[in-house]
Amino acid sequence: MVEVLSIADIVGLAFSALRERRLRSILTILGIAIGPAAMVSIIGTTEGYTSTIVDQLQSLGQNTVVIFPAKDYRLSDYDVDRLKSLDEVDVLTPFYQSRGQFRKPDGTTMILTIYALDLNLLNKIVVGSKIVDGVVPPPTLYTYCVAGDKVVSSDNVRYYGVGDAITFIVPLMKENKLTLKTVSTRISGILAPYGSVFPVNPDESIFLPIQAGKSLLNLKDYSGIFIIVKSAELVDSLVNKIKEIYGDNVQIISLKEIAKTVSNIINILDNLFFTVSSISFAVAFTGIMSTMFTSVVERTREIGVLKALGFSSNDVLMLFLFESILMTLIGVIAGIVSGVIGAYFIAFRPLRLVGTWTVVSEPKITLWLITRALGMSLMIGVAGGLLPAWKASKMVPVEALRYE
Amino acid sequence: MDAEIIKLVNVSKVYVSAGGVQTWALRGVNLVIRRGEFISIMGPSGHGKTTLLYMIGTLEKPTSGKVFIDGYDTTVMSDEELSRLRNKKIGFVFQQYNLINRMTVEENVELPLIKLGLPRSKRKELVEESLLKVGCELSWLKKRPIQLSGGQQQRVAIARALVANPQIILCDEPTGALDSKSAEVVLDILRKLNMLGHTIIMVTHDANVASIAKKILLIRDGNIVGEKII
Repeated sequence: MVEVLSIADIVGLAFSALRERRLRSILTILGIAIGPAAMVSIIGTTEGYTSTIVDQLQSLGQNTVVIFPAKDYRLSDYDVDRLKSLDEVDVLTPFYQSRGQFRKPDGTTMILTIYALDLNLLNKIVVGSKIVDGVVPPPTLYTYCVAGDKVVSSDNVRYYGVGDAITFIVPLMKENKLTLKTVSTRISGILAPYGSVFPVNPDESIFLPIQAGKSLLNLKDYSGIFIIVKSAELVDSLVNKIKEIYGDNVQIISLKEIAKTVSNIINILDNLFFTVSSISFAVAFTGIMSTMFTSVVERTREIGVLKALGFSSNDVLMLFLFESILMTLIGVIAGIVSGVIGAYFIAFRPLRLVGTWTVVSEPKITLWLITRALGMSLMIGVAGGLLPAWKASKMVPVEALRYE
Repeated sequence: MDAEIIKLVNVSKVYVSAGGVQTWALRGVNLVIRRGEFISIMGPSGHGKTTLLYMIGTLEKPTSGKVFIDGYDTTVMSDEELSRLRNKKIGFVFQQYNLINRMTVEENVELPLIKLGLPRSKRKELVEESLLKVGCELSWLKKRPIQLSGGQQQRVAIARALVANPQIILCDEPTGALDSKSAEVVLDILRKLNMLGHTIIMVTHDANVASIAKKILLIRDGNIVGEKII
């Protein structure tokens, strides 16, 4: 019968060896912890942002396309009719867009976005938006608006209700001079809180009937056209057609394309971060190896004694290998825990993307991410410890006993 | 009682240096040691007495010849088999004690029993029994070797050699690092262990120390050149 050392005994002996060289062991463990900590915090945060951004873009509707004039091109009713005639288009609405400064009753000032558009299409453009109070004003009542949640309230205190007037200041170009105009509208409907999304941020916007663009905001040309495509599959074909018609004269924003591009970019970033954190694994590998080699040399005589007492080469190999595995396990657990804390710390600050589009996201710490960090660490722990352990096991006992 | 426990047949050991120079440590040694014998091996430094001891302890393999321990031909055994043989049948006592300083006295003495695969409670019992047998105090159990005197450390080392109850105890200059009083205590322990039936082989260059054995082998230039029965 072959006597095999029990795992409990091996772990006990390995612990005792690590305890003896406490400082060196702690430093090696810290070196090991950096890899999984970096991996979990960076990738966990990135994946959290990815899923939030992609979810938001998808929630906006995959069949929404927005076009804005580029260069000096001016969008007119001619363009609206031309686009309407395209097979892929379900409905569309041109819109006017402006920014206004607005002072709330609590004394705070906010910059709001004002849209003038076909309000019947509001819940198609801002998918899932709901009127919680009041109604959508008819197109003729162009001084009546639908207001976003943050326009009528702050910190859950509602300042305005349906029927109240709100006044804001908008910039105006008059004879090539920038002037300011005070605009008053009356609230007809209030939107439920929606959350910040791109390209529309409904919470900090007010929506007016389309006629308000000319009459109230004094804008001559359309700021853009919202197009709802018949189905998401037709988006690419529509985008191609618009490109053919307008060339560089318009800028096309397709939410489907954006979601795809964002996903692609983040995937590339994900791989990049994975590669970068892998470098710290390589550093940990050399750290483990050098610590273990030093340990083997310092304990040469001990190895000779163990062999004289009846420990086989395999036993010695296991003892040394377990030391590196034990260091790795402690390091990887410390690394993952600090990685998770780090990820929440990084994600604590909202990520500002474009304009007012900020993303607040919880890090996404998946089992796959933990498994990857754990697997890679254990792999380097075993690989880094194997050669020194093998060297220890192959020591000739007599030479080891004579080692000074 | 007089059955042979160790037998060396025409054993030679040659060391070859990196430069290819051959050094003969043992030249055709033939030796039979019977169960319960107490043998001292004497000779000048570098003439092969430690090599002979380690050959018997299966820590060295002969370049040629056969080494039998308790009937087993050790020259054909695997590393695992040799380890088991050492663990069960052979105990080592070294000149420099070779206790592991980071471990307590108890952990040091327990080491051979870990390899034997005994449960923890049984190990504790045997460790205490072995320490008491060689005059150690149980208050030393949790002490580190460096907290003990040289003589005390050597007694702990003997307890470690004894703990798995091996038939053979090999001692390499066991009193070499001790003062005369401590040396006397250690030799007295070895004498008693021999009386209890352990076969003891001791390498020494000190004639007084060697004289406590029942037989002295003289070794010179890798050969056994003389034998003295006391």
